[in-house]
Amino acid sequence: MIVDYMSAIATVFSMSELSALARWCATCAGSAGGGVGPVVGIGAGVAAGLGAAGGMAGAGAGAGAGAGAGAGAGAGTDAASLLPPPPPPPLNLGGGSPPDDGMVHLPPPPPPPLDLTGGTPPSSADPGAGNPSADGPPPATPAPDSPMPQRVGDTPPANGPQPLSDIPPASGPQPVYGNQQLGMSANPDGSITTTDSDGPTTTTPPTADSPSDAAPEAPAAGAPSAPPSATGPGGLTITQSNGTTTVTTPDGTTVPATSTGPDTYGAQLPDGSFVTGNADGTTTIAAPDGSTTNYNAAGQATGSAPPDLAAGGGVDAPPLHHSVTTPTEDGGFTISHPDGTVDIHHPDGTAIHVEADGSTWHPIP
Amino acid sequence: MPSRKLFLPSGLQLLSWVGLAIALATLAYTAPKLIEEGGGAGVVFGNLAQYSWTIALLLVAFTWTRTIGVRALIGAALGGFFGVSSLAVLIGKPFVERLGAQSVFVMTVFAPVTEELLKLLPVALFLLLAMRSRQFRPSIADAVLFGTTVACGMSMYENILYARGTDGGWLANLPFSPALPFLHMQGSMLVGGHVVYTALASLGLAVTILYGARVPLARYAFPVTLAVAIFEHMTVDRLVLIGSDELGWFARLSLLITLGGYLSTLLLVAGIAAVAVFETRLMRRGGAALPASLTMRDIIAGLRQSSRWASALQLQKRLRYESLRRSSILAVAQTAQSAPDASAMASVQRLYRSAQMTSGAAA
Repeated sequence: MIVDYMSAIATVFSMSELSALARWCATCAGSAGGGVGPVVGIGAGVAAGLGAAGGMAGAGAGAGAGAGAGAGAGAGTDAASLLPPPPPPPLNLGGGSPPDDGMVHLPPPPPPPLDLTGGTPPSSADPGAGNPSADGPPPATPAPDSPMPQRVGDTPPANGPQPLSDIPPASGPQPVYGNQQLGMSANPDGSITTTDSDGPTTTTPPTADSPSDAAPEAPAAGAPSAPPSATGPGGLTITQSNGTTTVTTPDGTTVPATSTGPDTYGAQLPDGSFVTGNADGTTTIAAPDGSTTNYNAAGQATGSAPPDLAAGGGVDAPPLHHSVTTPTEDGGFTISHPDGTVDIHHPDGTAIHVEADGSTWHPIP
Repeated sequence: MPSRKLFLPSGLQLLSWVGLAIALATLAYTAPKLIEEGGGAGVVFGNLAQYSWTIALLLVAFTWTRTIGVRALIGAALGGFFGVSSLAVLIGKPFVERLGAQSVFVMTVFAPVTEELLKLLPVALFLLLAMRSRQFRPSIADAVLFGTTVACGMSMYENILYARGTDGGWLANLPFSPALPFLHMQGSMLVGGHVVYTALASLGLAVTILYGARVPLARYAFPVTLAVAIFEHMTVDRLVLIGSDELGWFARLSLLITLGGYLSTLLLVAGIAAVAVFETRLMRRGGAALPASLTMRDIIAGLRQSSRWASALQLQKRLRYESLRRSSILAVAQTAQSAPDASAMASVQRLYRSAQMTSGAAA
């Protein structure tokens, strides 16, 4: 009897029999008719449920019940305060499905208004427009009261005060500076009306070369170095078709513009210049030498800046061998790299990197 | 206390891994005896192959919409295998002992109702926990996948107890059997079994919980699908109870209402197709404000690390990023927001950078 008892104890403590003992306990303790015992089964099931909870990604993260995304998602609120600003708002203004090739090819937004008639520039595109339904895609850009950060929060609306330092609003009262040609506007019939402080207002009949939708350049005071503008800023023609913005140079070359944000775009021209369209309708052209010229919404030059020599710009240096920094109209700046890529830094601190192909970009952390 | 908050998910993750390890250890210990009781390795692994096949097909169908991973599914399968089965036995035991195993009430009312509700319990817990968040939400596909896996686990266990196979086959009940090989006939009725019934009820439950607040019609999804599942389960059990004798009016009426047992399978297949299309469209349209989605190119690129461990780590990070990205899109759709809120976007952005994704950016 004692021997048998001791033998049983020895068996229990034998490593080879421990697993058999555990198996016996699991399958027989409380089990009626096979399988595992209910207590063992429920315990294992609860344990398995814990395991499952840990494998749930977003939902678990949000519920705080074992986030599959780990601390990164579970502590999202805290993490947010440690992170740089979120990426630029959505740019899919066309409302279509983005291509699924992993790269982002952005349909550019409508171009800034080019009101060459001298009237009040139209307002910016309605950020909420294009959101077809609640079940559809989220609006392409955040609504004004959206909690999302506004990327160009300091850009005034096009109908509001214009951030043009040295010219009055196109439709506002015109100051008199002496014998200067202050304004020209294209009339619907193709004629051109010129306003001069020292003379009467004159109207030039339309010609074959002056289509009604284009106005001759009217250099504003303080913009002596502005290049001639036959149809738009700097002689460029900026058109929109099917949600795509294109820039046509005076020699007829057409360059597709890249959307860089709500109502903003950029285009790298063949001559090395870089055109930046701003949300308020103004345009900035950065020459290869680093000098910049700003244009208002009517396509009129409003000011220029010499090359920033400290940043690497210089006169007579068309082919870039180093990056050139140029300020933009809205208070930000662009950096043109020798490889053709351009960094656009917005006034709110966000920045994007536009590839040389002009159709791919990504945010700069 | 940011440090405490940051520590908390890690602690839960550790607990989750420990739980999974306990369940797997229990399976390892009990497997030899269960295989022996279940009719041998051929029968048990045959069942396993059929259930795994359906889960694999669901994973493919929900490739673009699911947010849960393999770990959640393993936990669900083990939870169904051990937890739900044992709970059903424990709850039913007093009634069986008092009324007998062949009691009409136990067979056609008590067992179908309790089993269907118990199988839905893990899915309901999963969805209700997820509903606490407005930033990250699961998809309907997740719930269907989760519920299906729980039911597969329970069905496996039940078949072991009865030492039986599924009585189905890949070509036994066309056209559905290639995808649902466990389908079989009980007399003139097509039997979907635990898997079809729970998958359908899970789908309805997810539609109601996730979209019921936005779409009034969605609130009826769960009652309807649960009624269909329970009613078919009751009908099957009734047919088993009466054997090949005269069916009686109840069985005949049940067969008429359930279209000979095809109703649940038809609803499930149609529901899965609709959910896959609907949520895939959500994913394609709703990611405009977020970084680019994970592509096959990213996965392949992530595998080209210096070591296998580094590759696995990179892959895990990228899959985790994609899951969170999808969850944020789903949250927008389910809560009628216009876009993911700032903290959700920040979390997704953080994982995007952590995963060192190279393609695309904010779209």
